Amino acid sequence: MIRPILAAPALGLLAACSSSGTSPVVTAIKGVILSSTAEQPEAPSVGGKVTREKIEEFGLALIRGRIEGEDLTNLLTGTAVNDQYVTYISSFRQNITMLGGLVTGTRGMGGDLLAVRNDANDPIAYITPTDDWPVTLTRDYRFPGVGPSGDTLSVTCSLTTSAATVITIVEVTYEVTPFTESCEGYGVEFTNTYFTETDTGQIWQSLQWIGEKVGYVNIDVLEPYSLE
Amino acid sequence: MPKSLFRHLPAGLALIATTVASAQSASFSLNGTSGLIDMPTAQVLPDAETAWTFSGSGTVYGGTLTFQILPNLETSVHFMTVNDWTGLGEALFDQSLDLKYQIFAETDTLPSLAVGSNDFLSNGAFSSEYIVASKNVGHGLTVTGGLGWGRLGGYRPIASLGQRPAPSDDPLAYDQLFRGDMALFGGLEWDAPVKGLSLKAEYSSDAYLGEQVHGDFEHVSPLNFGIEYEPIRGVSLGGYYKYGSDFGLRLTISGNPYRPIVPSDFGIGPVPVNPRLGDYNRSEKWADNSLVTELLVSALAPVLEPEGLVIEQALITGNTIDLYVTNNNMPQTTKAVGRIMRTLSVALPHSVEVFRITPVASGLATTTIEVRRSDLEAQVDRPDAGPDSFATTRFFDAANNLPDGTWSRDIYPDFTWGIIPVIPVNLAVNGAAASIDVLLNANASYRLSRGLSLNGSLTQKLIGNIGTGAVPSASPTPVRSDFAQYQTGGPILDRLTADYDFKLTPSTYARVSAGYLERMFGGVTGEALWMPTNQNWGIGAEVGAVQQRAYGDMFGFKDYQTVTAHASLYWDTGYHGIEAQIDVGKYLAGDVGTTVSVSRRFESGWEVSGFVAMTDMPFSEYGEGNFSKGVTLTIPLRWTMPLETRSSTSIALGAVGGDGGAHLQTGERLYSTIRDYDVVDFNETWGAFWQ
Repeated sequence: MIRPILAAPALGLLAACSSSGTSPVVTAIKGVILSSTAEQPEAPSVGGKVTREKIEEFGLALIRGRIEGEDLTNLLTGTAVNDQYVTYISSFRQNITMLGGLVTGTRGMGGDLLAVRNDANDPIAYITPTDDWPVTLTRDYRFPGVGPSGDTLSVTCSLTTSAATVITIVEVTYEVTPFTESCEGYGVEFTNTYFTETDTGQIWQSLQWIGEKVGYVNIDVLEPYSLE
Repeated sequence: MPKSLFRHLPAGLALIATTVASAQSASFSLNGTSGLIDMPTAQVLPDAETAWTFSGSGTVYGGTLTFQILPNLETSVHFMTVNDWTGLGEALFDQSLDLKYQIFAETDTLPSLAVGSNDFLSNGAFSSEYIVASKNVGHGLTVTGGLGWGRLGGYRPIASLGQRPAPSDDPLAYDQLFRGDMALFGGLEWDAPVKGLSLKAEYSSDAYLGEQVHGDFEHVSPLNFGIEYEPIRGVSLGGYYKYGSDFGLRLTISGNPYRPIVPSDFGIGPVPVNPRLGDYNRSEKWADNSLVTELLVSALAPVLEPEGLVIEQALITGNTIDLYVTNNNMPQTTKAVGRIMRTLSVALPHSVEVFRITPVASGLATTTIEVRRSDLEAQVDRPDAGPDSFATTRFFDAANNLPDGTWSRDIYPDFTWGIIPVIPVNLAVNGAAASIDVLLNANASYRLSRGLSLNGSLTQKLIGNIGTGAVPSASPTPVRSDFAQYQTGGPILDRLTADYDFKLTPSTYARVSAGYLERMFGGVTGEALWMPTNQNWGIGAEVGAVQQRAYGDMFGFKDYQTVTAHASLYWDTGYHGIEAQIDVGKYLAGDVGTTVSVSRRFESGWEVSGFVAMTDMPFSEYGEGNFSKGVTLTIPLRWTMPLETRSSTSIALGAVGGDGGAHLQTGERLYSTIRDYDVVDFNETWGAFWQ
């Protein structure tokens, strides 16, 4: 299954503009930035009921995000990919960037998470069968602060698992292993939760800490980004 | 209680402080510093905490601005009126500066330890020094014990350290520091289970001798008691029973640049960067079309304008784009630049590799920021995007205009205006310690070209008492001591000037202003500033030929004329956002001397600044306060409202009233205009580039 990102067709359009006059350039700018959905299938409505049929019809990488403690749920569409980092955007242009199942950046949601450094064997960032998950790992969370690096919060996390269970995300049921990740660093403690497909290591649902100002974000993966 | 134990109560309390418990946050004393009631503690406020306190008791009332200038250094500026000080019914108006330095913070086992000086470098009414330790002993109880000198060594002294000089009016006194009798003090603070409620009790070493000479204050007991309540964070109330005969009340309003009222970073996110594919089209033929720049800019401009970004000039080739951009909304330039770069990475043909953005401020092209598109693509979203991008970005001084033939946006003449409420609080002039106005200010700017503008400002008093009953100054050069005379009901013409900002060289800025420069003076002033962007210091000079304006006549002048001139050194230390400025020259009253200014600026846009001016004018002729000094607090609107805006509100204390060391108060000076655009500032705020 190919779940491309939103801007890929637009890039093609821009590439074409250089050899065919200026008009396509202008069209591309307006198409990509001013009305980014103009060239795309209509995203499943936030207000209306999200169905699996609509998601399939949409045909793009899609996640559902909700700040813990708030009622509003947002659909975010995969719009850019840099290396393995995928940026999802809501209709209000709020961004969530993910590396695999790990949230590594947020924008416009309050208290931006600038970036996250992870270990090379971080199973949240790189899809890994659950049997191979490490017990501990480290991360650096970067937030706005003085200097180019901002404020870095380094944490050490320990992973524990519990009995397999079943979750349903928009009409699809997954058999998953819940993992609890307890992280502790200088002056901060938080606990992330991941519901992970046992065989593949694909994280379908998670509750992740994105900073002291915002707290946690719930992520449901409705359609994962994939290059397959 | 046996007397021997009573006398050494503070030492006993300090001994209790060995119990293991974590530190509690500092609370405010009656006079607005961190402390118990009249006595200090070793606790300090959170870094950058800024607090306004209004307090009163039977002996003293007034206001205090407390600022945690560094994580372990607390400063407080008091504007207090002491009743019956020089005689029955004769009050003393006292401006004083307190410093407290926390030598080390509390640990699980050791108390915090601090040393401080009240009425620093002045042997006045509140002059005292102390060493104090505080420790949280658990269950919400904090114990404090200390040793005081001066006022804090007055009650039952235990020893003496030399002879303390008698109080004097000497504006720079240091012989008294930690000299004379010393006495023990101490106390308890208990955070009650009711949220926001705390109780205090202290043993005071202040004998209140001065208050008893002429007034009817009676020192019955050294024990003071207080109850404090914080209904919401940032608002604190205190009620106190003191010395067995007196009551006190306190209201403190506090804020912190690190603790915005509204969530930061809430709003529209940036455009995501997508890398060009490896085999992207490198052809630059599209640039041969002469209409391409206009068409591209026509498409880019409406994308950027909703975020307050206006393209002034553009030059686009097959490989490079140069944009001169005015940022009207975003508080951080680096955030604005980052967003433009992201937009360009999505919007421009693939052959454009070099992005150059030059922010324009008050018509002046500042620093050109050059980023390679391939770097942007390779760094975005990565863990080290911040430091890596700063390392690969080039900064250089911009020419004030792009070369001839550049696309320039036809946006002039441009008219802007605004109406804002202004609430000055006058705590600096004797006899008017509680005066306050509520004003409505209307300002307008008509920009004829990028550098040339006409600017005006009118103020109407809505309600207030500043200037009420003011009489003309007896000073031979009343350049500021007649300040109150100018505070009529209005409308008051604060400013009506023609201003021209330009550059002499890429790193030398210049400005000429003429007209009604400020409320009290009109004339012509010119300024030049040399400050290369890669340098953390600059040199400036300003010369003005001015005439004093009349009180009651909006357009009239008085006879007094003078020429004022200054050379200035600016230094951005890069340490905790601290900047320093030294001005040397001739002031409005003809006196010659130096002004030293220090400010601390925060990433959120807060700024706290203070200045002291010393000139050859005798202290006796200076007017109020013996020499010119002042404190200004600037709070950005973005901190209080969920808006992307560069607007801010400033509150000034003590900047008027004295004739010595009086500067011309023109509009924004060059350094204020360009100081956000040098490499030191870009380094400090570069984290926002990816926001």
